[in-house]
Amino acid sequence: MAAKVISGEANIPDFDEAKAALKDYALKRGAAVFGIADSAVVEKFAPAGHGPSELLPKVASVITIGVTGPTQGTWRAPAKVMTSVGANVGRIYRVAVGLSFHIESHYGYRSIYCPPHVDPEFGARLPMQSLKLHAELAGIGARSLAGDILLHPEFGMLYYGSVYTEMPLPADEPMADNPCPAPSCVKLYKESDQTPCQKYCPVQCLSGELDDGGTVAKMNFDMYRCAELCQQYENMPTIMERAFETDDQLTREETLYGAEAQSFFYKATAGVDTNAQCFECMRVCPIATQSESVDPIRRAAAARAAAGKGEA
Amino acid sequence: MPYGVSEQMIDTYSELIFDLSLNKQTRRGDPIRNLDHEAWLAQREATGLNDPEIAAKTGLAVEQVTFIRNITERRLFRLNQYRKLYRLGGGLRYREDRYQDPEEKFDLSDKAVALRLAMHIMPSQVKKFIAEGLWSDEVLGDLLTVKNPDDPAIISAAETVTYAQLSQRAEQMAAGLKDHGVGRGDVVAALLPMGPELLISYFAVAQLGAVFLPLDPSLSGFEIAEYVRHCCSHSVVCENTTGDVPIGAVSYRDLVATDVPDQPGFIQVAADPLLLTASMAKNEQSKAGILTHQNMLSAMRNVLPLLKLAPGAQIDLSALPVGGMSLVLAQCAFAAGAAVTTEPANATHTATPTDEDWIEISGADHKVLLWGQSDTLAVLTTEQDHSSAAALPGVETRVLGDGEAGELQVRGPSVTAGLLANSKATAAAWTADGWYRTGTEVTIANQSGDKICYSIKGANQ
Ligand code: SF4
Ligand code: SF4
Repeated sequence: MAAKVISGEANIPDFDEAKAALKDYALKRGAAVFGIADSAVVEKFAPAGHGPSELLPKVASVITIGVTGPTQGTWRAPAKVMTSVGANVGRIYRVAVGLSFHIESHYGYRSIYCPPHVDPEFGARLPMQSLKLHAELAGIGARSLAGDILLHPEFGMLYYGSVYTEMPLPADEPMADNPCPAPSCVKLYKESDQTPCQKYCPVQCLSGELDDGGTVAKMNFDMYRCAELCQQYENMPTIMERAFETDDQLTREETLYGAEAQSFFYKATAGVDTNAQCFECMRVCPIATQSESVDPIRRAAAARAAAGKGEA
Repeated sequence: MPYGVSEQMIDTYSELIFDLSLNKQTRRGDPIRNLDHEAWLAQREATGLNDPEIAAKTGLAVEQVTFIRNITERRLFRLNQYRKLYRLGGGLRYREDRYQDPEEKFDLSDKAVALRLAMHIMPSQVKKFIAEGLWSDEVLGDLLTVKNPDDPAIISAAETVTYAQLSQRAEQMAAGLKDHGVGRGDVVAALLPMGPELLISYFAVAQLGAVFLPLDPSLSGFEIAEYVRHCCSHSVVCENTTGDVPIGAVSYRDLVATDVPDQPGFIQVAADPLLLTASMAKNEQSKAGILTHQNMLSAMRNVLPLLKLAPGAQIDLSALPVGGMSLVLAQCAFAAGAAVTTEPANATHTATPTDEDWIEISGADHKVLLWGQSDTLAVLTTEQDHSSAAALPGVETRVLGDGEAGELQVRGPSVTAGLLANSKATAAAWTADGWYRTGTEVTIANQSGDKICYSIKGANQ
């Protein structure tokens, strides 16, 4: 099997075996799920200028991994605590960056860790690449009614990372079924016209409709409202502008040095990983919080039970 | 002009660009998961376009789209939405009708700001009152948390109002005043005699974080109009709103008939102004003392043990002019689980004005005299006569004059936090070192240790 060797003596792998080995590598380093999307399919669905080939011209595969979200205790914490410890993105970096080096050094194919950041040409809201699209096409997440946050039937809400590689790995398929909405959400929707995530979002930025079969007919997401609460892109300049504009010294001092400003500056300067989301939609989501593998205690019990059966 | 974009262009394109952008996303079905590229393309616009896509659609340059989109987002942005999260989690979920923006909670009208600017308490005094437990976070509304809600709280010839009814009507009236536009810090006058309407109004105004201005109905039309003007009253609560009524008159009956909305409760803050006591200053110009919840409640705590009120007792306040002192005595009744009455027949206690600034409260087997002005509330007391008055707890006194006679000056937890007055009257009211000048001549009757007894001659003596 021909491969583009970029350094040294590379083993030309069996790609199925290589995929299994890479999955093993990723899971051992902390990924909960691993999938591969066909880069041509990603390219087809990605908006022009935002496909994988923009980053790696000869990309063949999009590897996508997901790490689990918060602990069970965190889901029960006050919201301001949840926003400061709920996200779990550090592990993605370790796994995905590790994978990209591992592929290059082990198999000799160019690889790149896909930046999870915004496109600097356009400001703070447009991502460079859609990690969501990769995970969805690789079958490790499906779009939910909660603003298209991806959910996994076993692992609930995950944090995703991607690696682009010139290595032509066998691609996975998207999920056959979408776990969202959960049966209990359909029930609540029938009773009150809202699913839990829609009902408890603090800025009411979620709405939509289910069809008679209980699947999503329409999902509306007022992203700017979510961003205003969670990411607060405009916060710092607004604080400064308000401080310039006011004639009142006390208002100026409150604007610049009040609790809100200080905590924002603290988060920004300390690099606290708090701005992704507020979690209130996920806190009430049965898939995010109650799927078996989300709860390590239940997961361990299930594993023990399975092992017991195996022994019997 | 960045990228050739004018304010007019922003006006023209901002909504269109915003709606096309990722700020608003709509998905129908699950086209990507189903690999249905056609269906996905058909709804591509609704799912949110990036700037080059919007530029291609609108005929603008990409830089122009990016600029207009960013400016639109910035103009829509509101600071401090993050606060919506503060009371969530641990089983509590967000409810829009329960959230109150802290900035709105403390939204003050210009008049309310002016009233606050007139308050200035010496830092050393505040430290002392708090250290000695004379001031706390207790607010007027706390008096309504009583053990027996069905006990009578106010008795008049027309009706008996229980504590539960007092609480409920105050809440309804607060809602009525809010509907009427009364906000935190606004002054609400009440031209009502002592009785259920007056006391319900007092609690209702406090619930709103507003400021109560009691006006005795025996005041002249000129005085009423002058005090209403001087205190910038938002409204004047009256029994009737027909005939010869002051400007801003609102009907008590209409206000109290309001439904209470399912909204966050109004918050009362102990250090906030609660009461204005309007009077004519010596220079014949009106002035109004500003009394906070802390002033009113510390006066109550000082007086309460002297009255020997027990649950079931009734204190007749009908002989007192409506004002700060009569409200302090009413508070004492509520704190004791007793009732305020305007019917002397069954009263166990009777309050009577005996001389200028003196009130006598007599019970079955005791009497107590209180001395204080509308701006100081009760500061001296005696169980004997006007020649042996001693300071109440936390009250400091001194005499400025020759030897043992002169003007009584006081400092204490019930002394006004400031005056709404002309600058001359304000300057005259306090000494440079923070003592309140009562303008009352006293002589030191006797002194043993720290305890000084004053003799105060009233106008009738
Ligand atoms: S993260 Fe918060 S603001 Fe955003 S959709 Fe979820 S609940 Fe709403
Ligand atoms: S709560 Fe979760 S499962 Fe239910 S509709 Fe919302 S996102 Fe879907």
